[in-house]
Amino acid sequence: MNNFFVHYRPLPPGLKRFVLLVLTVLVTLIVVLGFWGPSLHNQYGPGRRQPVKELSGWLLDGPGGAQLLVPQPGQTTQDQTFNRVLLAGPGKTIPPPAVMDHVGDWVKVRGSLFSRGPLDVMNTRKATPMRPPLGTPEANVVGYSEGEFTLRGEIVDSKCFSGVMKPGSGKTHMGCAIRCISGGVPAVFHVRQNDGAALDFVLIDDQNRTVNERVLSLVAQPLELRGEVIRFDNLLALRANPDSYRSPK
Amino acid sequence: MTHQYVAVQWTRRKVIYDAILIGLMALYLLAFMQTSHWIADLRGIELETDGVAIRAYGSAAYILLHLTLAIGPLSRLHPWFHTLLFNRRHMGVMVFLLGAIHVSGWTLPSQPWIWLGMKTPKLPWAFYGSVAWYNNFGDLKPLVSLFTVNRHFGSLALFPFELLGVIGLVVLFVMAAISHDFWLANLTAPVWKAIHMSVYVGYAALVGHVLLGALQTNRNPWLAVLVLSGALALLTLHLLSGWREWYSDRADLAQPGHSWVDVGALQDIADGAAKVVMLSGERVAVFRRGTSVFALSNVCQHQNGPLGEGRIVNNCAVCPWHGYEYELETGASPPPFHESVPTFPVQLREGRILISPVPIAAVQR
Ligand code: FES
Repeated sequence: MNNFFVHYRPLPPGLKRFVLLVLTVLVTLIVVLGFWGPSLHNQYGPGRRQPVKELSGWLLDGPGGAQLLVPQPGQTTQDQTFNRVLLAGPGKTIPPPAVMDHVGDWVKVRGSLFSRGPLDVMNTRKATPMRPPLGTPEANVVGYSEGEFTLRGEIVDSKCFSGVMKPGSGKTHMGCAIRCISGGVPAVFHVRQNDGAALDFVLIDDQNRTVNERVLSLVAQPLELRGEVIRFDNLLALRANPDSYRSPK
Repeated sequence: MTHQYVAVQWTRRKVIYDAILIGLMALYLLAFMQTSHWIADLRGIELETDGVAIRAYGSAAYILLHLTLAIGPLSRLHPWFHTLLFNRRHMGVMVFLLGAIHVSGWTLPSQPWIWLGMKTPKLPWAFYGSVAWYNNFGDLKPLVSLFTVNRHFGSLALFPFELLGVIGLVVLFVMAAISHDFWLANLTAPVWKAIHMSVYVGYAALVGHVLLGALQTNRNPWLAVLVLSGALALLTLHLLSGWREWYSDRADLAQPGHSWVDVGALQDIADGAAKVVMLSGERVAVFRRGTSVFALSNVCQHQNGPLGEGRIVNNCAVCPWHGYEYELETGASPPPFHESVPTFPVQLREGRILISPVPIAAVQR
């Protein structure tokens, strides 16, 4: 009966040592994978979810989607008078009519703010129209052209990318990004420059309209876009027809 | 062994096994999530706890699936691994549960609030599973979104890896659902075994799920090395154990025209143990008890375990996998059990063992 094991009989002494050895190997494996594994996953990103805030500014529908133009505190330059905060509704949607009915007004909105670099997105359900403070500048709806560029990157949704999801891009994020963009959340072209720094451009077509429904099949994959880069305050937009989006060679 | 069905026939060792299993998985999940917090703190960034939990449970299921699939070939290569095999089905069920939590989240802690119809506070263990986290809160129902959102079926790099995960989880569910001996007895061991072989289809789907999902987004070479070495290790173990079985099966001792086959000397078999020989394409376990020999089919009726690797206890051949017992003379399990295996006529002549390759039908009780 030397070392013969049946689970309802006593464990032979010769097997005890073996079982302990197996257990030691398993515990070591689990500990190594448990502590090492997290550093191998790209589950970290610079996006931040800020506490609920109240912001006031001009509510515009475009370029790229609903946005609030909040006056920059202190010194402003001619081409950057406002800080533009993209707006989304709760979940993967555009802001509800209680917000969008006030496009063109000066409003107060409340919600969670998601930020990633210069990209700010706010979750909001309601906008309260107000009288604009005295001396508030008008919004520049034309923007400043920075010229024509060819850019390589991928289409992401501005909301989850800028705060909720880590890393918020790439294939595993495709489902979420498509849901967001399909729901009207502004589509953003995320470009990583040679020095590693990132630039994000809201996408508009050559008529300055949103492109959301036309880019769903192109989300979260490598793309090459050629178009005109236009600066709207802190927000960069890329004006190109979705038909011209290409896979990089 | 079964004469009536109970949920689990607990033995002390099964309880210990399950406690260790749950302990190890809890240790992994805790280590993964806590280390993720430490890394985020160190980098001064915010952690996406739902995403971390989705990765923790998914990777736990994936690691445990490898361990579960390794036990079979390991115990074919060395009988000491039977100490892991006897409760393997609980491991398999655990793989399914971890996979299910990866997909649907951990909502148990929130249940009291849900039952009372109250808003659930943020609880430490609760998280959205991958289906809800990536597909909910949008313009489609999460499951509709899951199955329709990515249509790049023609591209390997963009292939909807989520669907491979669904296939893997469905296979794991079927395995877990029919893992009970009730199904084993009613489907019969060969059918049950054949269905359980589909775990390899599930495994292939899950390797695809990881290769075309996590590894597409995350090009960390170490992660790729870990995933590939896991698959390679499993493949090697299966090939090795398969080759060993094929090699020993090659030596079919039966010769045409001979009704009795000399299978070796009595003294070559340890008392109380058996050796396995191949006769007319069937594996026969030849047991020795003192100066007596008994020949039984090597295929245990429970899950086709190798009876010949068992021992004689109380005049019964005991299967090394889960301990089913068969009387040496008749091949029948002692009452009240009903299982039985065919036996073979056997003679001892001048210390040599002779067996007739024509089996005597199993005795039905
Ligand atoms: S296979 Fe389970 S006891 Fe033999």
